[in-house]
Amino acid sequence: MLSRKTWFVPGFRRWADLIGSGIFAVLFLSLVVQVVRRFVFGAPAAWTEELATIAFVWVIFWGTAFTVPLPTHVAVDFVVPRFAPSARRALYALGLAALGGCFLWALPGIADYLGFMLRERTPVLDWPYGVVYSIFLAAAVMVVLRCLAAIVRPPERSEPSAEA
Amino acid sequence: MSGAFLLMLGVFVGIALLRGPIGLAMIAGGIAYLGATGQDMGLAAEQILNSLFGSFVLIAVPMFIFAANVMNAGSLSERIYALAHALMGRFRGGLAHVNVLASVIFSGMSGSAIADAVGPGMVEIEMMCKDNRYSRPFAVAVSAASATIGPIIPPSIPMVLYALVSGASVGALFLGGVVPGLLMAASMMLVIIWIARRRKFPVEAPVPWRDIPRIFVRTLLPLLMPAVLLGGIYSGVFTPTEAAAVAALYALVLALLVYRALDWKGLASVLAESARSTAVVGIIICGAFVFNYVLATEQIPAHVAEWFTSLALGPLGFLLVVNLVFLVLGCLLDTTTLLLVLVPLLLPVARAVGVDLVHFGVVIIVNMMIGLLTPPYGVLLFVLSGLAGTPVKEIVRELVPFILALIAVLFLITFVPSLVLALPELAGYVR
Repeated sequence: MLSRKTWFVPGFRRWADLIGSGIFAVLFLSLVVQVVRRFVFGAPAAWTEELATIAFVWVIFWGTAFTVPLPTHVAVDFVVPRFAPSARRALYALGLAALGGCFLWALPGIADYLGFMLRERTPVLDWPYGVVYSIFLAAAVMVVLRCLAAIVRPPERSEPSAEA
Repeated sequence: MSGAFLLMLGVFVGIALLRGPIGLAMIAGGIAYLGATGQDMGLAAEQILNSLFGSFVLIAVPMFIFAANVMNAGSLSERIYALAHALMGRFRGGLAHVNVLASVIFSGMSGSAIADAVGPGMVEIEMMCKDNRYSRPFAVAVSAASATIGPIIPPSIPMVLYALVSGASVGALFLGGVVPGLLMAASMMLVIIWIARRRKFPVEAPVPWRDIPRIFVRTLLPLLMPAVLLGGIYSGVFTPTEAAAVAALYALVLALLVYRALDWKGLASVLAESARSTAVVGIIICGAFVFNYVLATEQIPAHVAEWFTSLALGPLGFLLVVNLVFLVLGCLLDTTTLLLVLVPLLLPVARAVGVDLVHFGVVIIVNMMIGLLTPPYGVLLFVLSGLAGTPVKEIVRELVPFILALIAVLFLITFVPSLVLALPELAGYVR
């Protein structure tokens, strides 16, 4: 029988990936519509640039929150591996504790800023900035939770995936 | 330099050295600075989000990532390889030359060295190692070295990032990369000729000349992509961001409808991979926004400029010092961090000593591409070592002559700025 974690985690990841793909598709399609509207119909649309920008913000923080595990991020990986396994785990946990601690420290300030930004609206689509930016708060909360989870259960290091 | 600034550096360096994600470590450093100076913590969010919202040109980065992923998933790499093989396979060590030429062609469509390495790079490694004609470490080394051409010949993700921090024209940077990229390819081919003679590499059965037009036609549509992309930018029809989206659309139409090499399931997986890669690069960009805010508050760029000015180096001396510093730092840090955090510190000095910002950008990016090959932090080494199952140590041994050749090109373009600036000048970008 599958344990609770076993069935929940892959299912959640699949959905998170699907939503991430959807947001990326919105980013791509808004740029395509921008080009088509301008060059095919001769009627440029201001909303396409704004939607693309919002989707770009969401792709970054949705990924950071839900689809990119901590070890997949670009990291300096030549210091900690030189230590013995137990020291390695302790050092890794120390770094994560500092990282998670900083983000935890900033959470009230971030929430406060987003609350304030609910009053401001984007120039074209007229969406509240507080809602547009809310994904940043989700990412900050998830960084804290991911750090906690990785301290309790250290993950395997995966390949760097940065585009250079 | 205030105590809060030292705390920020301590938090960033500490977390980064303890294997924490670099982008998140930069944001954490910024948070520590804001806390220590009693500023509102929401300022970190404000700096990041408003900067992202105001940098439309940055959206070219996910589009170039997407275009490269589509090309890799849609058999375009194989077609490019076939053309390069038809042209270069007949010479001694031909497959190694094919590897370099395919990278040059792919570079005109992709702006990422990693995409070049995992796409055509892996195809070429497998072909070179078939029947043990070449040793695997040598094949991996050639793929890794030639992948560095990717972001030099336009389009280029690092050049888009550099344009963001420097204000230099993306179009001028793209044109400025053409000659250095070709020089890099030529230098690698010279190394291959030398090694091929020493090791008596095989000569492939030549593809008959009468077959070449057919192979060329098979590759014609992917080959048109650079023309669409660069033609659009230089004619002023598209902005660089729109051009990147058009390039991605073009690759998608080829892979999905023309070659039918990508199905809807494959497309979903390409979208997911592109979204994840964008998040990985994006979070470093966000970290750099916070970091640069702190650097500006502490007036660090002005102090760095003052220090460099006191050395009275002149343009060439400045570029030589920068090259040496970046060759060392390239072994330790990734390209995006160097570009977005360290380069802005040097830009006021470059302006003050009279170095052209397009020349400076291309030199610094070529330098950073060498950093992708040098241990202990050589991303191309890690990626290809993992994919090809070859130990990093063996790849590095084979890479040494290629790295030396690339360093020679780096110093050549440093000493002869016209190698970079002639094309942008011709196009009217630089005067």
